[in-house]
Amino acid sequence: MDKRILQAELATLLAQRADIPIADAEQFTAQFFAVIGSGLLKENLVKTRGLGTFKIIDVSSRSSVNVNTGERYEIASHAKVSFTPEANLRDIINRPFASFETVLLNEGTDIARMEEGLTDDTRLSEDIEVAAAPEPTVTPEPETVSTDNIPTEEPAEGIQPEPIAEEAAPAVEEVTTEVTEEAEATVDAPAEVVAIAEAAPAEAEVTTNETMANDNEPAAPAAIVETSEPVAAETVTSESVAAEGEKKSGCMRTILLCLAACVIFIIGFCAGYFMRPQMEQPIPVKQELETPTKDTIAEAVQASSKQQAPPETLAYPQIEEGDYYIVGIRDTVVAKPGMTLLNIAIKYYRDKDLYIYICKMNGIDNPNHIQPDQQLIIPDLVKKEQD
Amino acid sequence: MNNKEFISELATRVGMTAKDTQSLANALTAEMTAQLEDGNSITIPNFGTFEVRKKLERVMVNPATGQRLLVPPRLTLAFRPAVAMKELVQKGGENTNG
Repeated sequence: MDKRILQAELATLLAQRADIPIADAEQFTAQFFAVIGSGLLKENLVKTRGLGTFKIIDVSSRSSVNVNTGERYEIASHAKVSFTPEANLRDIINRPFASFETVLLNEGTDIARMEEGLTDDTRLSEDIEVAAAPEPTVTPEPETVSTDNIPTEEPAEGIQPEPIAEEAAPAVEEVTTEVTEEAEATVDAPAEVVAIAEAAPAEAEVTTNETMANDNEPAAPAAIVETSEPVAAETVTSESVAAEGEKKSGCMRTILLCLAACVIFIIGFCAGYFMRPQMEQPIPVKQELETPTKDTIAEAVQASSKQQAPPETLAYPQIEEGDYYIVGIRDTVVAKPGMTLLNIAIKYYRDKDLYIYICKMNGIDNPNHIQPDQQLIIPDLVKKEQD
Repeated sequence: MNNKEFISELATRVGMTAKDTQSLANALTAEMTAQLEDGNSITIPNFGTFEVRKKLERVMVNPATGQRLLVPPRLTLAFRPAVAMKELVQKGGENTNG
């Protein structure tokens, strides 16, 4: 690199390349440039294939100023040699920078600020709603083992989340009595149930969960502290009502048992939803049906406490120390000669450093080496929230 | 003087056929290209120097439309004639003009 090669060296290299004696190569090299020189003087223009065009161009006289004294003086007209390399040679020389293209700058673009401007997402809340919607379609409920005669209207009402919120409030007291019977499911982990309730978006479930916790283990006042005041009042009364409720009619009992089952099922579903990314199972409900609910709840709590990330991001490979989540697929690109990952990153993200996400998405180890016609998935990125 | 005339002139001087001369000239330019690509400069006495120069990126404005364009950095091949060559050209230019 940056060596100065003289005519003698060039002749030696030519001799090696063309396999001729060095003396011949030296003579040829000397004559090569001598002919160019004499041809220039004779015709003012020499074209050589593989090198380019040499030309003598006339420069007309112009006035200039001596920068030291400020005097004006005339630069006489003269001739100078110009050299224009062939397009082929020019491209070979420029090959290290060949991937750059002239970019049109938009109006008011500040070059220093090109890196910003990635969109923040509102998709998290949408996705949760979407995920909640398919819930009614799943009818086999693991908790409905004990009930024989379930009125058909009740599950229809209970399955939808919002009606539960309304119905659950008056029925909370009696629900708790039923829960004591099914306590095996929840008794062992009241604290975990509370944790789930915090994570779950549905407020109605929060109240029922916490009353359950209260009933199962009265020595857990923390659960009550976190509830809103009217609910706390209800839970206080619930124990007295619960005693009466047990002696009440069996038909009310079955209805409420069904309601309780629905509520527990919804909790289990939420747990399964939060657990899904870690298990990488597309349908969490099936997973839940196969395994006992105790375990799924416990795992879900661990999962949700460990990972604060938006759950849907975990379906894609992530870079933990990076500033962005990969949340989807924005585009796919077929690599062409001259393309680099840096260029693609600049094109899609306006930030060349984000090429690492493209690497991660496509499992590329060496970012300097991509194949022509290689399919590249361009991930959709969302900025991580700073703690 | 185009390439054909150049090769025939060179062929008569070195005493080879035009075809051989062309292939040898191709080998020479290929060698020069390879050296220049590595970033080396080539100096031919009494003729000049071929060297690779780096051009920085710059913002260009299209005067017709007012669009601003970011021109990327690039490497260019430059030729700098030797002093002897310059003088020759100067004399030659005067001769042809006068």
